[in-house]
Amino acid sequence: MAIAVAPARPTSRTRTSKRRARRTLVVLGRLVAAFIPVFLLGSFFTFLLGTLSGLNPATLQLGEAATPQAVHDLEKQWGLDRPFLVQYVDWFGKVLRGDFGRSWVNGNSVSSLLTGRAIISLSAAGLALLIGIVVGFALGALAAHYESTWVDRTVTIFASVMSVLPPFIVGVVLIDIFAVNLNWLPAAGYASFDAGFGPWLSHIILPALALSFDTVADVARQLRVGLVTAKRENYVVGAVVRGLSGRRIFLVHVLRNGVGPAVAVLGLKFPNLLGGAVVTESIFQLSGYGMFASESAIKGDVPAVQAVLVVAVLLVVLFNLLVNLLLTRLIPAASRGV
Amino acid sequence: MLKLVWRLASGRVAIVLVALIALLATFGSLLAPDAPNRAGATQLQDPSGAHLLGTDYLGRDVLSRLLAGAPLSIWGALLVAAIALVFGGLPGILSVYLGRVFEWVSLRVIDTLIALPFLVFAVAMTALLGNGVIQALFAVGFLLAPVFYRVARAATLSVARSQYVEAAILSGASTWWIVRKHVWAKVMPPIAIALSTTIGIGLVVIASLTFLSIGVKPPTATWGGILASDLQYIAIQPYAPIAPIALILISVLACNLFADAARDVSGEAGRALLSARAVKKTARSERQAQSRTNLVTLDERPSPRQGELARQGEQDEEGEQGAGLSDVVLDVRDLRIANALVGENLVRSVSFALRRGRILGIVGESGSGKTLTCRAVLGILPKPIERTGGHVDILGRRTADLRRQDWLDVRGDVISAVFQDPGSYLNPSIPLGKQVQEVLRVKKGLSRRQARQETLRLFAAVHLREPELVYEQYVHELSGGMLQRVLIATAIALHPDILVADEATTALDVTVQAEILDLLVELKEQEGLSLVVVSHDLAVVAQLCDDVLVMKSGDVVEHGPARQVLTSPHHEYTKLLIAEHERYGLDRYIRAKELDVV
Repeated sequence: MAIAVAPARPTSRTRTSKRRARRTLVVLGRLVAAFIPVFLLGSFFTFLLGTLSGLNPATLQLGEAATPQAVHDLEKQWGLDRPFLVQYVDWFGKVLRGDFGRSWVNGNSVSSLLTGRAIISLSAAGLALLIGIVVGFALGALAAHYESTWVDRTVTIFASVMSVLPPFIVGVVLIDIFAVNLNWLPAAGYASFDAGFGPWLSHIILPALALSFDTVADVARQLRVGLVTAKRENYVVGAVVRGLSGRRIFLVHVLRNGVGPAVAVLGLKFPNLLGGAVVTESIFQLSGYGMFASESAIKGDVPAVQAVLVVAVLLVVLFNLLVNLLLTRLIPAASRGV
Repeated sequence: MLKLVWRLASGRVAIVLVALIALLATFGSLLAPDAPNRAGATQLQDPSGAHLLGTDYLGRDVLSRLLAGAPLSIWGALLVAAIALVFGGLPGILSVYLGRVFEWVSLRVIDTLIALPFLVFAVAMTALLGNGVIQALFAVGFLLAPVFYRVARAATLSVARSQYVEAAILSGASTWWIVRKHVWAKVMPPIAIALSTTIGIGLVVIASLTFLSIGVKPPTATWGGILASDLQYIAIQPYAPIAPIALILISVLACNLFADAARDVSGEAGRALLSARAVKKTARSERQAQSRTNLVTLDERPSPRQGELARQGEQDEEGEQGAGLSDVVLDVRDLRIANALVGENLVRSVSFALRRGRILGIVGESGSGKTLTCRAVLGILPKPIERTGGHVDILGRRTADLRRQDWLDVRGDVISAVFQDPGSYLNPSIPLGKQVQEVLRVKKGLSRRQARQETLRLFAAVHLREPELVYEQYVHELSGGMLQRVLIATAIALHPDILVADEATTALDVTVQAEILDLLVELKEQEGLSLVVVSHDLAVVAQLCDDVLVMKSGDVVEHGPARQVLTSPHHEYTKLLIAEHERYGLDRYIRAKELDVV
């Protein structure tokens, strides 16, 4: 290391990019810090629910006729005789390592029971999200562009109707129309992606549609409001005065700034999409994780239910983290408030 | 509140629907033609006289089952909302008063509850805690609590920060007394709105749970359960789901309609809406009466003074005929601007001519029409406001004949503008350099690299100290003076002939203001710009301009060479402006000081 390298004076360009990288890190750090309490509390709440239920593997496995000694032995075997907080910390530590314990019903590892099903639910929720974004953005942009004309009013009414229709009603109507009357699509079941894109899509499209209505409506409404607000901003006048075309102003300047509320609402809608899986999976008889949750809950299989809930909370937290990062990228001024 | 809601048409529909549904929930089962669980008739019958809505898979009367399911669905939703109100509203109010720790913890809990996937948790909680109706209601109520927490907290905060509550605290009132006396009135309307929304959500959630047969055991009739069994036999009875779906949707719709109507009439906005309606009604009848009586007097006749001014303008033109008409880059003749919606005249007969390389100042108080004049010149009058007369010629082209596409070639290339509050005229989400680069790329067809080089040159030309740094920065990272320099750079990027500076130095520090004015003069010399400088500040105009236009409430009251207008003003208003400047300006103070010293 004897060679003395003359320290190159950093150009202002590298300086700014360094500054920006550091700021992104700071924002990320703050976001993670904001979401950690949510995840901790969510997991705690989930575990508490299991304890409050008063259920234990003994009632499931030994039935009503169990002797107190047998119950005690079994509780000891599952570690349920320890203090609540010790149990929680132990469980949470395992969850972080991806170990969700064993089912009280059949003793199988919960994580292996869950993986295959999670893919089904995530396909449906993911496709619903995609529909929500694409259709919602199209409708919202249309309404904002033709503000206070009949197009705007039609979209607004359409969105309010869509937002009142709950997934289980939409699901039943969709089956009635597309599976029973028109016989175009299968009414129930699931085809894995290995069977080909066509069969997969034909099974997943109706559940996804049923789930997506609420998201479509809210994205459309929020985007409309965001765009209409952005259209009135001075920087639009500024861009007009610079002689930029209307289309360019809309795509580059209005959309960029007006998209915030619509992206933010996606973060709020994601829990609904995941939660709605319980109902849509039951309607379309998809054995996803929603179905798994309700079956396990009815059986009283506490570890299985806890696993589903904590995974769902984790997914929501991660998705919201993503949404917030996207927002700070899109609207840099917003990161000041984080 | 009910009275107010009733005054809206949608509110009346909502109230009638809500009343009908309440009746259905209370007395519905009395109307049932049959016992809901009696299975005797032929199974899966279509609607008939004996069974108005047919029978289900066990041969039970569907209508009777739907009516029997009404109480659970509707009273259940009400109970859910009440539970959510207690779980959420109380902590929401208390979070403002019980100190930091409670506030932090409760906020985190609410954050978490919002993040929970709602239905999965509702199902899991109900089933694990005993799988009964009571459990279901409490689970859903608990999960819906955040709505009320937020509403109650926001309302309480707004009250807590208000001065009359502070006064009550200072006079030693107890917390409980404050809550009862002041908070309640403010919190109630938003809570009423949230309640009706939540009842709607509760209806849907309860229907969803019963659809999954969570919380109820099979023979019990529920709307969700009936729909679920309809789904089983949908191939045989494809129209059976219509009845339960209609019932659920109408109930939800009633709640939402009520919530919307309540939102419309509550608060300041609501009072404004209702009174605006009343005003509109009376205004309409008055206008009708008026239009019948005095059609003639509404016609506008040119006032003598305007005529005089017009003549003065003509004389000006004759006087300077030597300079040549071709030298005029911007010619405004008899420009009139009005609000087309209410028919109010905002600018009356403005005329001026801007010659190449000259600076024209427009002075006047706010509301005098100077900004509207600028906007009319640029063709960017805001919606109901329109040019109603006269014309604007830019480089000899009449702007009234310009189509949208033509304007794109004129704005930026021929005429451009900078404004007060420069930051707001730049996109907050795009780095500043990119915004100048965009103009150069789109309108001049430069490559990215060329446009970047040109942008940096422009930034240097407007004396931004570190062009490279500013290139990457955002609006919120710069001061007002620097932003005005950036805005000027974007405006002159395409070398326009005319630059309109509308209050461009207002709200800047005095030293920065002077720097920007110097910059404008420098650019005029270097780039051969002609400037229209609008200001309410006589000093700015005096410093820069060759000609001055003085405006007052939409009229031009004085027009002439700057020196002449400032030294020997004709109009009272101009005299007043100058006198005020002399009385309150710094010059007088300094002169007085000097006299003291002497």
